[in-house]
Amino acid sequence: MSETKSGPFTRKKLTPFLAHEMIYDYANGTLEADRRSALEEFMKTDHESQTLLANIQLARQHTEALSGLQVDAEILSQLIEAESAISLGKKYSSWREWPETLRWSVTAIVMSAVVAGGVAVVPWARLTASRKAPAGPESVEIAQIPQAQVPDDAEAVAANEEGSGDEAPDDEGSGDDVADTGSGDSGDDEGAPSSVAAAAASAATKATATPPPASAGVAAHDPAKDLKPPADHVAGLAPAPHKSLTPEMLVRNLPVSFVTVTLPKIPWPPKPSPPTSTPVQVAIQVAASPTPSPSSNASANIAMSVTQDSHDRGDAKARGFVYRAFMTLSDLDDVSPKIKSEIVALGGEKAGEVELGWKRGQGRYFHFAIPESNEKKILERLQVYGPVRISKDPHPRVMPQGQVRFILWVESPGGSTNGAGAGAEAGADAGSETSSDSNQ
Amino acid sequence: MVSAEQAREVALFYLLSLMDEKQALQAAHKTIAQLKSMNSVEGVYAHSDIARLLRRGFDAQRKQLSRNQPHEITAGALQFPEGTDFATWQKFHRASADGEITAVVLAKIFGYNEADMAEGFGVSAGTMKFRVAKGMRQLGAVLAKAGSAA
Repeated sequence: MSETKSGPFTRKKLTPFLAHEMIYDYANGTLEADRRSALEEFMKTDHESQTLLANIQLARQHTEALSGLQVDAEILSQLIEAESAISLGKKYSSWREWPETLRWSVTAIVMSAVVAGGVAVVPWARLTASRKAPAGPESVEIAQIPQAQVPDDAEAVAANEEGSGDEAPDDEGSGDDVADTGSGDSGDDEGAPSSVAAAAASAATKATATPPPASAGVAAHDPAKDLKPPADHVAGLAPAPHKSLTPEMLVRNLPVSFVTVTLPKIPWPPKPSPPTSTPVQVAIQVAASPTPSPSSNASANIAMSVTQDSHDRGDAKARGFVYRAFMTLSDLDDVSPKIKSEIVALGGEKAGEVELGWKRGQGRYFHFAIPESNEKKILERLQVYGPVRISKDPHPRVMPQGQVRFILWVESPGGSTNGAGAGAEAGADAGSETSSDSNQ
Repeated sequence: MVSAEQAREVALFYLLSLMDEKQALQAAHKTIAQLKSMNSVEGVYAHSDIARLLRRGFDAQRKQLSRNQPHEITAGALQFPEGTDFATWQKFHRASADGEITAVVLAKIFGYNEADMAEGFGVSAGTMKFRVAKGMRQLGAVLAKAGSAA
């Protein structure tokens, strides 16, 4: 054997096993030169090795052809979209990878949150308060009535039961009411009852033109014996020149202590009056101040004729109205729930913040809205429990069609606080009416 | 992001090695999703990583198939090039072990490096080389037998 001269594999003759194992590398061209030559020598005589080499070459050709194998495009498109939770998290971990709609949505939410946070943080109440004019005292004294103010020829003294000057549980805000009706500003009723010195405008006046019999009994039942206006005002005020005062005169010249507007049995529902110069007879009782003076017991019945047009002009901005009703009842604790049930039975609903029959001192406060069709019924039912004094006052708030708003104050006869509240309420009413007139 | 070519490779691997369309597509779906969760260099994944995922997917799906199950691949799923046919591959499939089939597919059809395959499959390079060589010999024998019969 001549091949034994060079290399370890050339010295020994290849076995078939070793040769067959080297054929794959030989076919790939990765076999070393020495082994390659030895294998080539071996394959010349080994038919099986030649067959193996041919098979491997066939297999190579086949696999090369299979490398062009194609998969259905639809299957591929489905596979490309395959996602897992991790891959999705990775995909959307970058802001730029987020879908356009998602990015805009998140942007909008963040902006909304920032704006809402800003609104919540900014002290709007302070800003609003700083813009307002310096706040005046809660109590606004419109006028004071001295004894000398009362006309000498006034016939009767209508004592006012509401003269003690306490707060009224009117969530109209009586202090605001004065400003509201005078300035036409809106008077929302969300506030708790506020102190009202608009009661100063509440001179008990009584219309003398045709004092209705029903009102007389209601209005003249409580002397204003507790009233003590400042004495220094007494001397400086001139007596009223005439027993019949216009609303303007009443406002300018009658610094009244308290006003109760009592309406006699008003034909219900009130007949619409002509727009111009239809006189509305308003009974106003003027209770003179009990300040010691020569005419300390003087009282006056002042005929006042308030024209409807003047009323309208004064409340140009107050297009709505509110009914203010007052009752004085002895058995308040028993009657108050009944009144509440009557209101509810007639479709009345709480209009303010407090519940119907809200207890304030020794009085009860009912602020409610009721269908217009039940106006008469509610008054009739209230009158079962006692006399009702009612006034229809202008108000900026306009109720929905078919709805009217009532503010009913029921008090016990002896309660000074209650009387004050009602007086303040009435005073606010009168004040608003007179101030509106004075604006003309 | 997985390219269409990478998705094709994955799908082909499972179709050719499992020979069951439903199982193959399930495994391919899972593998591609896993591939997307892996780090890549501008969309290029290491062959060893792909081989590892393919081996896992193959092992998981292979357990659900019986040894002598009928091959279920619809005609439209694979489009064989000219000169090749499904029958030859089926014969090779019956004649070879799983390791040899997967090795032939990756090394000879997709051109994977044997070292990467060995790393991905968790075997030595010699073992992988042996599997490829044996698979090629068997495939050649099938082809030669088919040729002589024709």
